[in-house]
Amino acid sequence: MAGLLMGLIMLLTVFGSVLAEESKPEPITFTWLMAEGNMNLGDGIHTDKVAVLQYIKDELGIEIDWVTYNNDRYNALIAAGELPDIGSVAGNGQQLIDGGQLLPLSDLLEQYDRIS
Amino acid sequence: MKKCAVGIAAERQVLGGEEGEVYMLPILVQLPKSDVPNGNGEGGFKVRYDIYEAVGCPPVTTEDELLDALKMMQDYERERTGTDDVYALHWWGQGGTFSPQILARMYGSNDCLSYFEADVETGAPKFFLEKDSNFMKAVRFYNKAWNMGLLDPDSFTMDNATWAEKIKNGKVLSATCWGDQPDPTICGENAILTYLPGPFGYLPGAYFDCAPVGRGVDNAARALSTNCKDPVRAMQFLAWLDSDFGLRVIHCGVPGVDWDYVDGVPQFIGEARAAYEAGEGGTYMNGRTLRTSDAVWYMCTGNGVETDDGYPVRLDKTIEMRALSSTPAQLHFAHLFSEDFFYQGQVYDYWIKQGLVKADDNIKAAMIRSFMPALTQEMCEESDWPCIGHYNEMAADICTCSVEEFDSMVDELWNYCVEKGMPEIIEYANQNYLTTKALIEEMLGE
Repeated sequence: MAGLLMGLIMLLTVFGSVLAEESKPEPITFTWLMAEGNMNLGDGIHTDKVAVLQYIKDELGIEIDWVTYNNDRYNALIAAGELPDIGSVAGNGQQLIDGGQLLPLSDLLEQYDRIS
Repeated sequence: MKKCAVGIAAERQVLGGEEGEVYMLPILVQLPKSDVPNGNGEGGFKVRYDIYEAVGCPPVTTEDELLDALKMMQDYERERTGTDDVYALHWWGQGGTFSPQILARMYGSNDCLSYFEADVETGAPKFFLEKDSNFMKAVRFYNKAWNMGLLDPDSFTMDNATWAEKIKNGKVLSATCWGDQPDPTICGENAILTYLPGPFGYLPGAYFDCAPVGRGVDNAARALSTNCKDPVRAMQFLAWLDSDFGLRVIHCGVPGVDWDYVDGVPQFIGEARAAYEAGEGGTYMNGRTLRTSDAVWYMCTGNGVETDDGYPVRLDKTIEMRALSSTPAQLHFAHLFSEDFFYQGQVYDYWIKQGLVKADDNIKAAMIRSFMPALTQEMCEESDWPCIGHYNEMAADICTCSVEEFDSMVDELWNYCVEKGMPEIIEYANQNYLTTKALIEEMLGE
């Protein structure tokens, strides 16, 4: 009887682990554009050195790969059409909007946020 | 992103084109009216209140009265310490724009564009070097101080580390600064830099800075590029970052480890709480959150926003944590005004409510300031930057000339600006101000 109970517990444990794994979101890495002067950390920001970034990776499945820029790098990224996934961009954005390099967000805001 | 509602609406109005599309998402949204005054690390002109108290708190309703009070403080401290290298004021940035730029905020302006200031009540722009700008009022204040022997002669040569050291070791009795404070082990347990309510008119950052649309001076905001590999997931992530919970994680650390709800109240727990109680919270959070990196300011809305639970995003800003972590100097200063106060912000709030001074909390002006179109690169390179460069070359001479010579030095500086074409650029900025003001007023239904 004890063996059967132990087996049931083990089965439930394994099943629970599988469920937990399945409920975890698919891991994804977003590149995020940031002016280099705004990073303020000499050797960059690494997920394994910042507790909340590790938490975000573990809980949301999201890792951030920071892409820093200065003026020349910024202009080069735009010219090549290679802006990262997410950008903390300077300026009023008109040039990027006119160049078709920024996504319109109204629909996404309406679907995935509390306000539109 | 309900915290960015005003900012998103403004984005539609100003940049959205005919369809009213949204491309940019606000960052660093802050609203000034809060039940929890700020008031520990705001940027402005502060004086050593303990020394001001020691000389009998002379009335300071005008600049000249303030300079007289600073003279009394300098004399007192030199006599007390038996030294002659204590000065009432010094200047940050080796004579550059920083100190007068920060002092200008006390007169009622805030930075906008490139080396322009915006009136905190109207948002109207003014170039730093226009003769009636708040920036030039601040330079004149320093000139008067120099002529009274109150300004440290090292001001125009010392590096920033020396500047900060002089505050810590009590060699200067006022400062245009943010969170810098004197070292109590050197300067005494009650040593503290605080605002004075009288001479200038405004107390910048007494509440959270007024930034309703969530754009900085460089107009930075968040966007998704057309290269984004998963726009839905990215938008969900941004929404999470802006949620009460996500903001708390970013600013306060890992839930269940660094903070948690205890009896329904969000608060620091464990090692984080102990660190804050010991006055070492900032150090502890290094490596726990992104707060020690400016990256945090570009990822999500700011910490000066309302939350559903009514507590500040940053849990070190709650009244409870402020009470637990107040220093003896903060308590001494606060108790001069009420036994119920325990940090500077409560005193500033009291002064503002008494009508002694104003907060820089005009939301419409802040919205206009944030959406003013930037100067073009050509304008900056051909006029704006050379004029400021010329000012930097002259700063020490302007500041140290006699009071009688001051106006002619300012004329000389302005004539250079005219030669460089600044009046046309000022007109460009003024026209943009009127256009932006009209757009914002339309959005507000005025």
